[in-house]
Amino acid sequence: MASPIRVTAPLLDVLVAFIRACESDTELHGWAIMRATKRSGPTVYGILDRLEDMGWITGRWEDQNPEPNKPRRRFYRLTPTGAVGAKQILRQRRPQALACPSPPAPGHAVPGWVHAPLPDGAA
Amino acid sequence: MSTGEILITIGGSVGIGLLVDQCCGMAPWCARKLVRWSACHRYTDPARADARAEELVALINDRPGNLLKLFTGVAFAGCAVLTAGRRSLTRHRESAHRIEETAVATALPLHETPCTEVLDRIYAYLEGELDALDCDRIRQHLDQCGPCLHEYDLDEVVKQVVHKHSGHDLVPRELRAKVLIRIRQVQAELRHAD
Repeated sequence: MASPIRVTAPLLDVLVAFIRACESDTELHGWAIMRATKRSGPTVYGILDRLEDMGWITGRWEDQNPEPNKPRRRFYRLTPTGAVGAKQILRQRRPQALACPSPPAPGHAVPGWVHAPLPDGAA
Repeated sequence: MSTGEILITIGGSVGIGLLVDQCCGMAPWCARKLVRWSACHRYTDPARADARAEELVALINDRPGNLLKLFTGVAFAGCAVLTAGRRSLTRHRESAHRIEETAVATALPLHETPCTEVLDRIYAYLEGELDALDCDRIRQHLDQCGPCLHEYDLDEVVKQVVHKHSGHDLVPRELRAKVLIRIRQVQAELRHAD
């Protein structure tokens, strides 16, 4: 199994985005990755090139863009090899991303007082 | 403020507004051109370049904001220029190293001036931009170093330089007449021989 040559912060961001997409069984297109990682286009596509070359992600063209007369997009997802490799790297370099698989949905955030330490004698 | 000034202010504002609107309208078009261009220059594999070009056009379409689309296009183009430049530099270095290795493998004497330096400066030499001492060093190297001449396809380079310098000169009338006369003579001789 090939491993990434350089593990950089943008690579970790992109892997986190892919792991979250994998958990919700969705695929990501270029703009969705840019939005999720808040990274620039060339940075994201440089990483996609590397991940594709290593066989960690696989892409497919959508049949047709849902918006009429718009160009079709290419969607990516982790391959089984990529999922194992990504989890391995994230476990070492960004364990909190795996500990919290997806950010809490808006409106369902856990209030801060739930995690507040209990006063002495209350337990 | 006079009526004239008011009219000029209103006219100017409308004009600038229209201009900005026009520029913003053109921004996505420019961005699409830029990403197509950058895909062609970033990837060496034509199939991948075509696929990425189509994909990046869709990305530009997804990205909101006309000016943001343009910035994204410019960023891709800048990155492609850097990648292409880096690739060209690497190729140049590899070519120079290969020549050095060939020289060692074929037991050619290693020169006083390294091949890398000659290859770096060969165009300046051909253009006559080097001083006499440097010219001598490079001429001496090229006299000894077959691989350099072969690698750089020097015949081709010389043709290019000659073409560059005299490509637009008209052929002198006398020379043209002489060549035509000579062609006719040869044709007549051939016919006579038949």
